[in-house]
Amino acid sequence: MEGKISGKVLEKIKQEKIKPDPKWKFLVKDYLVWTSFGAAVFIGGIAVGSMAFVLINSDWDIYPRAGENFSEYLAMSLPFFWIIALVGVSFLSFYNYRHTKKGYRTNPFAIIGSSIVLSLALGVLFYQIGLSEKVERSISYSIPYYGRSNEYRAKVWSQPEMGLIAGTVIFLESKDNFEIEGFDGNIWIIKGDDILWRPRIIQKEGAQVKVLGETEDQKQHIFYGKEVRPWIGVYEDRKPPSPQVILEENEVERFDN
Amino acid sequence: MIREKCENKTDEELVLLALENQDFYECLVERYEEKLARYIRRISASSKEDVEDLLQEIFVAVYRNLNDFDSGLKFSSWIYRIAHNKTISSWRKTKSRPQMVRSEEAQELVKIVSSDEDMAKDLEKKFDSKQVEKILQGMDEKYREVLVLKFIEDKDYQEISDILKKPMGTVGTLIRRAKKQFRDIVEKENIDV
Repeated sequence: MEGKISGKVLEKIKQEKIKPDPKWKFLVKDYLVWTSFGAAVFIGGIAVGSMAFVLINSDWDIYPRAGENFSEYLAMSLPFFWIIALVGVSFLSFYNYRHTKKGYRTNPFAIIGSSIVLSLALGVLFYQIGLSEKVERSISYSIPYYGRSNEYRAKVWSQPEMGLIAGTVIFLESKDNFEIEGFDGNIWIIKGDDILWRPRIIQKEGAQVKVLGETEDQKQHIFYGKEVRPWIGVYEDRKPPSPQVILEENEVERFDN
Repeated sequence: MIREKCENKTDEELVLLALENQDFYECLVERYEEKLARYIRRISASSKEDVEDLLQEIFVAVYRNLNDFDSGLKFSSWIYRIAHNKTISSWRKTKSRPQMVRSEEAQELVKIVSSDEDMAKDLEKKFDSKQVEKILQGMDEKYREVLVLKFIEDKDYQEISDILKKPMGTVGTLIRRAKKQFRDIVEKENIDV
């Protein structure tokens, strides 16, 4: 046997003045782990909410009309960024939970499952209160993937011959008579009879919108509109001028004319 | 004097007392030094001196972390966990493969494993120590360590779960697989049992 070492241990503790580490140090560590777990679930909620927002607003009804290949349309419409983010934060929350004091006692599948269920619940809440839309709009500036997705959507929606136009409202007389500057650079006069404006569009100049309808006069750039939908995210420039600036510019142009 | 005061005290009570007065810590060390020395020997190929050094290191680490002890756990599970981690970490530093059990303890393991209901179906109690050592050497480390904890250290599933920081279901699976691997090696090596 190695001999009694209790005396040696106590002697070492006394000689080297070893003290137990303070309780607060362990508490801080525990709180950090739990906070990280909470943060991961919160981000998961944002990811789920944003995914729902993107999927619901992906205009699934227009792809046959736009003559697009479904698989390409699907690939460009699926919110891959958020799917990857959700997978990432699910593992992060799993990792954090496993590092809580008794986290190891819980089945790993139960941890990942619970984290996804919590994220789903938060995602529904965030979608309902409109947070997902705000996140989606603000994040579209900084993520390259969104640029590609935006370009693709702009291409799909720049087909007046197919009844699809998207751009910025530059003049708004009424909901049935307005002008937009298309993302292809052309100015279009939109006319219609009781055009349906989807909710969430701010009916004012500077708003970026998509218009469904049919071309009335290709040369004169007159389009018969039936429905207006909001443009998700922000197209062009990455940092577009504020609607107020656009308004002021339009005022100057009209004054010049 | 202190020793008398330690009598009839649970480990958990001694932890609280040691936080107030370090002399009480000696009682905890006394209670566990034999058990842990044996455990370290079982899971490593350490020499007497190495075991003693490791033990000192373990007890100092336990003392430093006394405030982190969760009273929801058994103290023995907690101290075994620290001992297990320190031993594995020391083994990784020296990169020497743990020998697991020595001849006399291999025999002990066989006796206990063989008396286990499931194992007894396949194994008779006439293992040769060297044969068992051969079997254990051929086993994956994760299976060997649960076999030692279950059959030599006599820990229950909850304690093994707390020591290895694995869910109870995983511990059950590991033990089941460990038994299977034990039997497979016996068959493969054509060891006469």
